[in-house]
Amino acid sequence: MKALRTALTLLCLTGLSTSLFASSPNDAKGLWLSADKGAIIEFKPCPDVSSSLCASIVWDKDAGTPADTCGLLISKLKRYDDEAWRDGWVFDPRTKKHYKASVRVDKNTLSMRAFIGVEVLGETEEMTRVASLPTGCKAP
Amino acid sequence: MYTTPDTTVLTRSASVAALIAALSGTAVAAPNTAPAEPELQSYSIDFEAKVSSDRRTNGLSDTYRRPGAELSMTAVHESGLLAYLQLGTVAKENFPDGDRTTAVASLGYRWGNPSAWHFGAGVAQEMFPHAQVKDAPIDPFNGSLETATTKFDTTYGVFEFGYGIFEARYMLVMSRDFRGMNTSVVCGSAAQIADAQVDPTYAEAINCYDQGNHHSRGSQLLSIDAKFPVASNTKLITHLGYTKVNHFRMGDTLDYKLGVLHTRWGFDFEADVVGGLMRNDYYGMTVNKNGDIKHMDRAALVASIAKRF
Repeated sequence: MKALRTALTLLCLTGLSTSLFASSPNDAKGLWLSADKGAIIEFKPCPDVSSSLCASIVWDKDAGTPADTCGLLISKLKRYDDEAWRDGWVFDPRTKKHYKASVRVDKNTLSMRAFIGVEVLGETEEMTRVASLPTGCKAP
Repeated sequence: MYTTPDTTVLTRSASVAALIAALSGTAVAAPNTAPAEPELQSYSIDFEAKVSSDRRTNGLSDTYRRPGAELSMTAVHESGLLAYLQLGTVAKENFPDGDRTTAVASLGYRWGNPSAWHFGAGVAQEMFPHAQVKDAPIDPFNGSLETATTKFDTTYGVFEFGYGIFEARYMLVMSRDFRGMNTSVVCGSAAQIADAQVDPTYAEAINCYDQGNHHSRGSQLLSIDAKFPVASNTKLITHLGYTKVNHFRMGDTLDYKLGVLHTRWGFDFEADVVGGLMRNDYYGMTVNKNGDIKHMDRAALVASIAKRF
């Protein structure tokens, strides 16, 4: 049980330390490589509502094949609050279903959470920031 | 909500796995447009199939340290309600007379902030169809002819709490026995071990029976899990658990798991060192029909492959 107490203490300390690093709405903007390294997603202000954040696939390792998802708008988030983009959705092209979504950035890691109803009922994909875009997708 | 062996139950709700597959280009082609204000899913149903080199529950093997398989279904509603069903394989050596299967069903509710404090509460029922220990003596060393028949089915009350990547779970056994642990089964097992070891003193078994006739309702299980991101598709898996068996202190077990989870090609590959430290490891042994003994709590490298769909 002593080990459990130690773990709980570490848990609380971790919670305190993570709160020391604040992020801003602009941190999400840019190019992000998906967890499986199969796609790059660009997050930028939505063309129709510049205060919102939109995410589109700008590179797909399967570009030019029937599985090509280049240019697909996969997420739109309307507001930034409490260090996260919220009030939005993420699109799953395979099931053609939309889920609620939120996006957080911690340095060079972007965490996109898709969820049902409330955030706790969801799953997070972590993406890594990349500086440049490989060739693949055709220009829009 | 509940977990069987090594799987968390209140996880994998929304279908991000599908999203990941789609992003990797394995999905079918879709129109490159999406509605501006789409209709959002109010529920999800996800499945996972898994094969592993061993199936462990709280550090102890349910498959006589042999490979096992499981199929899980998680249903989530936007209200916060969750339902979970898991079908898995177990060994007859561990669950005699059974048909080598187990099922876990749970219903619960989850709330809170996933990146801060979050909570869950529910009930879980663990079932082992047809498995039983039939007509086992309750106190054979004192001349008693009384026997008992015991099933392994167990009901749990479950409470979960977590902060960020740390998840803790507390379970309270509400059924009469915790996985069949009562005097006739626990002490009977000790007698079987003595038989297999050709121990004429039956000292451990006699000591066990001398504690009186007990059941294990009120047993408690506490565990803490954390998955630390190592890379975007790789996580360090850690688990620490403690099982307190009511009336059978010798079965109290500290269990642990340390491993790596890597997601690739749509599969989850995991390799863990898993084990248990039982207060009296005599009770961590199981005998098969040939009289061979294995330690169910022994540390082992457990490998698994899982596919979510």
